[in-house]
Amino acid sequence: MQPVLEMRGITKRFPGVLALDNVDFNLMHGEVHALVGANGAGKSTLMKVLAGAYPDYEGQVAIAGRVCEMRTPRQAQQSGVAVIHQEFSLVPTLTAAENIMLGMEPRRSTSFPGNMLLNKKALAERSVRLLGELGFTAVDPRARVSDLGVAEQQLVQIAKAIAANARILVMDEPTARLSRAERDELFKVMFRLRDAGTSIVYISHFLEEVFRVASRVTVLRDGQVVAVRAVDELDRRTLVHHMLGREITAGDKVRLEDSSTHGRQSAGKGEEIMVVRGLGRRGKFEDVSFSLRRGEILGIAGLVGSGRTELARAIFGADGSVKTGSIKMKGRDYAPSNPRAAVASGLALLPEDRKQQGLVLVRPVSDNVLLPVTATFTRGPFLDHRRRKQQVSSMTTRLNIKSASPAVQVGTLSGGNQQKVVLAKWLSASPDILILDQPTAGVDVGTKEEIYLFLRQLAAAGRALIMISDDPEELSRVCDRVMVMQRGRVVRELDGDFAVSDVLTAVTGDY
Amino acid sequence: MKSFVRSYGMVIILVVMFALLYATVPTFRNPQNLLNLLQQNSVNAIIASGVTFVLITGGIDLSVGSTAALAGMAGAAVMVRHGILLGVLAGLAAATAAGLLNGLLISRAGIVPFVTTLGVQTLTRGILYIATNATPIYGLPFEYMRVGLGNIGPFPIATSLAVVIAVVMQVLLKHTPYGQYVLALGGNEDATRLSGIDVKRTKTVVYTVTALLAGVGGLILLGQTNTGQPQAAVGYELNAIAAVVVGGTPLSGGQGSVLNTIIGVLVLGLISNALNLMNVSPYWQPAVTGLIILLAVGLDTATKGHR
Repeated sequence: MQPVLEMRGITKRFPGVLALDNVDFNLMHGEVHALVGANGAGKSTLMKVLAGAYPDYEGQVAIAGRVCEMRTPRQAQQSGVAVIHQEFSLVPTLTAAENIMLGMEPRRSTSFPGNMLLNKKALAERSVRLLGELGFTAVDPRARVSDLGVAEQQLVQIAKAIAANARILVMDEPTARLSRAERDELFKVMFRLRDAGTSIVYISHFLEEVFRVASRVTVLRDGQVVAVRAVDELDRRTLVHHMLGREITAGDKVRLEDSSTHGRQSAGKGEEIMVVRGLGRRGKFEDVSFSLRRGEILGIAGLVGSGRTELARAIFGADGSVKTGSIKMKGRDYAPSNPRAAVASGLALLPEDRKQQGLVLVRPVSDNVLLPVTATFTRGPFLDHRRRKQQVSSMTTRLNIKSASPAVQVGTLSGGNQQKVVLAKWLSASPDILILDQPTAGVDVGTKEEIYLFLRQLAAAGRALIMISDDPEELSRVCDRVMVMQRGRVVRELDGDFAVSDVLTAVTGDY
Repeated sequence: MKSFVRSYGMVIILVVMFALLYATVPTFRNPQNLLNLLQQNSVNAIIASGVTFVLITGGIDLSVGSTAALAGMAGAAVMVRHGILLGVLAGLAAATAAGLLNGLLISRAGIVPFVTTLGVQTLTRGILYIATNATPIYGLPFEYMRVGLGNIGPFPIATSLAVVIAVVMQVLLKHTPYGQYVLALGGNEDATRLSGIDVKRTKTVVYTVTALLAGVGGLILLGQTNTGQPQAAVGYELNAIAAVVVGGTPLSGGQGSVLNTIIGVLVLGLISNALNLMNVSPYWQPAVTGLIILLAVGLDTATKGHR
């Protein structure tokens, strides 16, 4: 059978880097084909070639057997390729219907002057019909996109792609910001599209999803294809092995090698450093109480909207003072009204969205790493460039941050390395309490393991950590205790010996 | 090659232009003309040094021209009665107050910089016209003209001031924590705030210092005419922004350098000087300047590989 898409010998160079090295990739009619690989393996670059983002790739792209030039986004679009990005490409101020029909709005008539005027009625009808055909009944076509939830926005993107006659959909980490239920709904949509003959390239860091939705997998490593397999021929272990070129033992508790007692400390060990009583913020979370000891990692589980991020931000003073409840830190009352006060008291927050809130992307790695401690690495009124340099190099070594030099912009690094820079930044400040909101989101499997180990080392060194995560496996592997939140309240606490399934049941349970 | 052009493009253009003019236009290499060139661009260099900081934060300041006029008028009014020193202090104080107003409205009240500084610009001019009935202030001490037109050794006082200010501002930007905060908040204000940095205060200081420098510029202008003019320095904000942009500091914030701005000032200054010497009608000047701005930004965008 002829593939719908055939990419042959694709090579793409960036200054100093060979991002793609003679890559072959093909996609069958009505197939969901997963593209996996560690961060920086070349997945995004390959899909950007397909989307016409690079005028200067080498190699050949054929759509339905016909060789096509993919030098501009327009050429890609005309060849029937559409990319559903992690970062959405919708106009937030327009309605769902207007977004779907953007660039192909129906006119009053085909001749002047009617062809200059919008036919709003036809526009509404067409988008309603399309949404109906796709079964996207949850989307109100008259709603502004900025008022829609993440999942609905994604459906609008898909509808827009289908309206533009896309036959090949590229979905780049589409579930990263979705809840479990929304994700299942998205999978149903994908299956319907697939059965109707659309071909889908699926990129995800969640390997369970790959096994669930894809029929074939192409694995990239360092810009080369290392395996193309049917999903049935693979298990998780082999897939990870292909991705990393080495073994990892997923599923086990993260332990430090030097001492097995550090693997999971009982909560009674360290000094109690923070006590939270009845903390609340109107409409976000209420009556949250917990305590935190040095040397432990407290996990917070919960779906998007459970109030977990708002809780973390409240403790850090990111949204101003909290009126309800109290926090004691090291025995003293603590009521941060801004992040500056929180940092001064020994707190740090690794925020949910590293690009928007964690990093200054246009600034160098070095400046980002030193940002919270800029004022301490000085000589008189001036920056002490020598000590700054030493600090950065010790941090990049300690966290194994891979960048050409500390002077390159953080924005040019891969997701995993960017996240390590955020970690390095807060370690420079040496906080007593480190709050991590989804520290491994968008990070590849290998880097995840490095981060887990690192967090355990921090705890072993006497710091207290709070870790928010979507991933039950990582919570059960890394945390000493897990607090489960639903609709703004703490509904359960897991302590002692708990497993992945316990976390999963607790999060999705009915209380 | 591309990165070389990106880093040194404007320096190359400046050197080539200078060499060409030096070789082909005899009046250009006259030392008096070269000193004039420096003298005439000193005020823009001083104001643009401050505006560089504003653009690095991702903001804009449309009020520096009116602030310069305010400093000149306040300075003139006080100087006529109480002497030069108090006059200068009064001018600087008035300018600083205008900058503080900008800074507080932007960082505390959250009004966007474009609107804030447009408002403060119009308000300041209006107040100057009301307070003076749009009449100039005469009768300044004659010695004050040295500030505008005098020399230290062979160099104009204004130019020496501009050099000192540019160096101080460059050191402030690249070698102090404050400069780091300015660069960081221009790149991502939220991330900078969440790093425990007082972004509000940092921004307020940026606008205040910029206004202070505009005040210095206004007081130098006062020294050139020795007359307080309420309509002085009209349009200077655009000259300053043009110099910063030609120098290569992007409007998107987070990056930039005062030295680049000085190169931008000199490129624009050389062009207008050359047009003068070659007896080109002054009507040509805005068009040529506009073209240079577009070329500079075009060159910058092209070398950054934007499609």
